[in-house]
Amino acid sequence: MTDENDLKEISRELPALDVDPEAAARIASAARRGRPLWRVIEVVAVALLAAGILVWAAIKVLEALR
Amino acid sequence: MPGVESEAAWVTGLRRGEPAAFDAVFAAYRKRVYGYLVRMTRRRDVAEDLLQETFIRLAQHGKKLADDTRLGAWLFTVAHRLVISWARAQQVRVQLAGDLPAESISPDRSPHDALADSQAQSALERAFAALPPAYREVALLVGIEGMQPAEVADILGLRADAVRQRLARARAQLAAALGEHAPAAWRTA
Repeated sequence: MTDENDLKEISRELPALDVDPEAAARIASAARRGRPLWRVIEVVAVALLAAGILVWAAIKVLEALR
Repeated sequence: MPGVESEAAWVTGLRRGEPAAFDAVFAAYRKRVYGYLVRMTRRRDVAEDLLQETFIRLAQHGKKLADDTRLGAWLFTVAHRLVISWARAQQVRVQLAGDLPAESISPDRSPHDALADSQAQSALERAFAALPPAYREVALLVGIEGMQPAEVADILGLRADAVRQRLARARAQLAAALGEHAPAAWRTA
């Protein structure tokens, strides 16, 4: 308990940090809109590419084993 | 910190997809999550990106939240995972970039020095910034957020005794780093 209380006590001295109001409004608005479409497409494209490489590698391994 | 009743009302609102509930949660937790992210990444630009990503995930998952969700724990769990992903990507970037000067990778200058309005405050920020990330994280969640070790253990995926151990080490390192700026009780202990 002492460590907890000591840290709570000393942490009170740390200044509160905040984004400036303009950035806060921008972040809130972006978060409400959700992930941009291009980010979704990017994730799907990378996942498809990774899956393709794995399948290709598996095929190559099977070919080598034959 | 928000009360249990307002938290429950916000969770209900989020589950219904009410924008007002999202705005209320953002207003209540923005500073807290941002402070944690700045102190963990030591970069304001990264902290802003991760703050946005944290709340994007809240907006995405709001309708699936359980009735008894503790929003603080939920948000800090997401923020913690984002910090870990960012740190891993940062490590890869550093390895790919070769031998960059240490300062450009991990500045020891605290970004909060400008905010710290006293020498003691500045020393405290630097002492926190100098803690290893695993200890810093625990110290921030317990010290600033006032969370219990069991709650922090849930967020970080650790056992409560591991959290207490990190807490003790964080306190010892802070006391050593603060020297004359440490609270009198710490120095006599």
